Amino acid sequence: MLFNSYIFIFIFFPMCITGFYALASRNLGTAAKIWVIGFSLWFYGFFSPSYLLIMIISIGVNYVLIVLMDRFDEKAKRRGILITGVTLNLLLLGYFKYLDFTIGNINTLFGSDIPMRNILLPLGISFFTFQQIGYLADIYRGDETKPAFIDYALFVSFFPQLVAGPIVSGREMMPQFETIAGRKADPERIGRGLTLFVLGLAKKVLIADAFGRAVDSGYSQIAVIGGLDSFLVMIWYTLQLYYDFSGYCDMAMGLAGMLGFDLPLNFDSPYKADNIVDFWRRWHMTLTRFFTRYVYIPLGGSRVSERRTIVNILIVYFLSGLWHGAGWNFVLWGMLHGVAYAVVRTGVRHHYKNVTNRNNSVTVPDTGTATPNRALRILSHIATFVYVSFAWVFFRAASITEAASLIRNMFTGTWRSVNYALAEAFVQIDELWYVVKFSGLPSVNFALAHNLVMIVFTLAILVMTFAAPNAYTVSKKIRPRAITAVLIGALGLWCVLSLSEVSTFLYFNF
Amino acid sequence: MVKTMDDNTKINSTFKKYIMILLAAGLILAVICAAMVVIVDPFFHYHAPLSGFPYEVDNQLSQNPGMAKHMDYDAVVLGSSMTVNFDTNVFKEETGLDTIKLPYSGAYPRDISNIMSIIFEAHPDVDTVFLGIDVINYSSAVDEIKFPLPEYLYDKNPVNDINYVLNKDVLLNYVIKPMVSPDPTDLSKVYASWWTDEYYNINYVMPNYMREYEALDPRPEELPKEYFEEQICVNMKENILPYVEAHPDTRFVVFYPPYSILFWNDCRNQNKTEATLYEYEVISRMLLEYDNTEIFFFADEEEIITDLNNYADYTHYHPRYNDYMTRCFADGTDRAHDMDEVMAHIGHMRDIATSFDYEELLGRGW
Repeated sequence: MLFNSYIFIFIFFPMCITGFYALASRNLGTAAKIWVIGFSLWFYGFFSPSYLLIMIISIGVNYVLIVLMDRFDEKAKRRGILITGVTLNLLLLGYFKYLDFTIGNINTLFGSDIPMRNILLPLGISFFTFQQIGYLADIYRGDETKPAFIDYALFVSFFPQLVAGPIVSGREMMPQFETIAGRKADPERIGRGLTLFVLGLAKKVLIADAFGRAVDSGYSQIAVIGGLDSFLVMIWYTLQLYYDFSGYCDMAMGLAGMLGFDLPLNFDSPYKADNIVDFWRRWHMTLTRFFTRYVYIPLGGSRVSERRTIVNILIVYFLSGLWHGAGWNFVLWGMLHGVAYAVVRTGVRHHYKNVTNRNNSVTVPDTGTATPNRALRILSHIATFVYVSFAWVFFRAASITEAASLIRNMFTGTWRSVNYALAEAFVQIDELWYVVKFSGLPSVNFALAHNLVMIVFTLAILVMTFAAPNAYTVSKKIRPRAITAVLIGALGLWCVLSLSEVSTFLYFNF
Repeated sequence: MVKTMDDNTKINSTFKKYIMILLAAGLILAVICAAMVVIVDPFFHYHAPLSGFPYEVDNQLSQNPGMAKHMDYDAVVLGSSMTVNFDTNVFKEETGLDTIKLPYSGAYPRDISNIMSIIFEAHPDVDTVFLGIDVINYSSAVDEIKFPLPEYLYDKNPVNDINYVLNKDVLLNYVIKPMVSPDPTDLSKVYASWWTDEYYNINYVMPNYMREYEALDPRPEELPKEYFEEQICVNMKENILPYVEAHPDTRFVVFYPPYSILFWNDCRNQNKTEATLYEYEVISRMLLEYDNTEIFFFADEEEIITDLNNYADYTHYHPRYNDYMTRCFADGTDRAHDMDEVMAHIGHMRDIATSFDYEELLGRGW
């Protein structure tokens, strides 16, 4: 089931929240948890009942390992269980996500002809697998204790974060599960959660999907589009991906908030970053946290030599690339970030030799202080945005060859005009047809009208991305005035009216 | 600052009001939008067209079922893009029948079956069904449809109508846009192709055809004549004949459109000419078992199909031949009354297909 669907908005969630508070407020904590688990299974099974079975087995096996680990005090045994658990989880992920990729590589390397399996990737498997690996590791380290099965099942299956994150940890969710019994509906939390949900929905269906059409159009005709076209396609995808994924996470936080749960922030205006290190503090923050805790630090983090630290960073970004997709283009995308991260980190550290990173995280000193003046800082913002956008080309393209074609276009194609089909993709947005119609421009110059709509829409979203507070901040600060309620209600309806278009979340297959 | 209980009560009450207003605003606006869609009903899902409203009809998948359900007609034209250029005014003039067009581009038999079930439920007494059959599509899987259907317009589930009544595309493009910028569709020519006269030209057709054409060398082994037979029979039995059988008072006028000689060149190239010709035979034999069927065989109209100035691509002919076919339906020209006549047409078609000088045509340096 999608958040942006009629069934979710009009049936699923109203039923879920009503039943949840009816049970929780009567001190029926266990029943309320079972209620939410039941809805989570419905939510997940709606995509495909066979997916559901995979998730249930995964939860069951992981819980058995947790129970076993809890029984033993000997480190060796606990380590054995941890290794078994991590291996099983990675095998599950590997089978569904990386088998064809591996077969393809073997075929290329050895000239063999092993047939592809074309296995359908269960949605969100990357997310719930990592979440469970994290939990096992936390139990092993003694950071977590054995939870009740119901709590663990709720932790993994909790529908707001189930299929596209944020990747939550036990330490931030388990304490919240303990307070379910007796929980009453809190109007402020529901009001702010509802607002955040609507803003996230708007980011997804009104902004991301609009750019998505133009991006799809661009990538479908790479052979004929020019330099400026290719540059615009690159920027549009940068915006599409952010509004899509962060919109989804906003909705997840809003939904969880309405039920009285806090999910961690996953996007903190990442395109406001002024270098790559800063970017990764703001983009998909819970994935960065996962890799920091469970890969970077166990590898030695930054407590090792400078050279070894750089290798550790590159390993993290190699894995991050692979996590995002089974393809060499994703690996290259990860390495582009890894290299830039290592360069920036090294540069900043050399600049501030007195600053030592004592908390063993991948983070470096706040680069807000590292960039000396305003002009340089603005330049730094732009450079970071362009570099991140450039890297996204490899993320979006079907292959490295396709990405290379788009990039080559930017240097060899014309920058004097925009391909009409691209500009037209914006006028296909129903609302913008009216803007063109009433601008009076079509009678003067139809192409100009389309180009203007494209430019104004793109610039407006860019300004909003760089200058406006993000949806999470807005929802936290919003004052509950009548006019605001009417506007948010109208925005929500506008999003609902847009639902009949087929739209899927970009991150579901990662 | 620590919040007092009074502060909390006040905040709670303000937010309660905020939530109520937000939900009410959304709901009221939703009702207004839905009401506009239901009243205008641009897909004719609930009622016949409002008189005077400038309806735009351009979406076969979404608007055909409503037109079939709620419009008045004596006859329908069904089929693929081969039928979009029929003019229902000509049907009226030539046959006296009030006809509507309900074509589906690239229609498979299941597409035809889907719309026939709606037609016969709403108009069990429909006088005539004009059905264009593209033989090559009748060997598809029995439940295959060309494009995914908006199910909510085809089923009887009122709940999923929300996809229709709360739909921005419907509201902006089919309700408000016609009011702002009226361009009502002439239903007699609805869905007509965009090609204007200058496209029906060999100099347009051949370069496009040659761009895609690849002469197979060597050609594949010839397909056995009966290669498609089994699947065709299943399709006819599942998707077409049940309606013929269930409605003995309805006349089913089935016709085979005149594809250009390039279609037959493709058959020759893929070595399936005999298998294709046999498809005509199988389908015709099954249809002629019924008294309420008539077959019109236009596929072997030699003068039409060998002149590529009559086409915009390898199969799509000029609209004047739609008018010609309509006249034939009225006066009986090209009707194959029995299997002997069908076989005569097939024999003629075989002669044309096998004797045409393809190499000369293809080798003109397009």
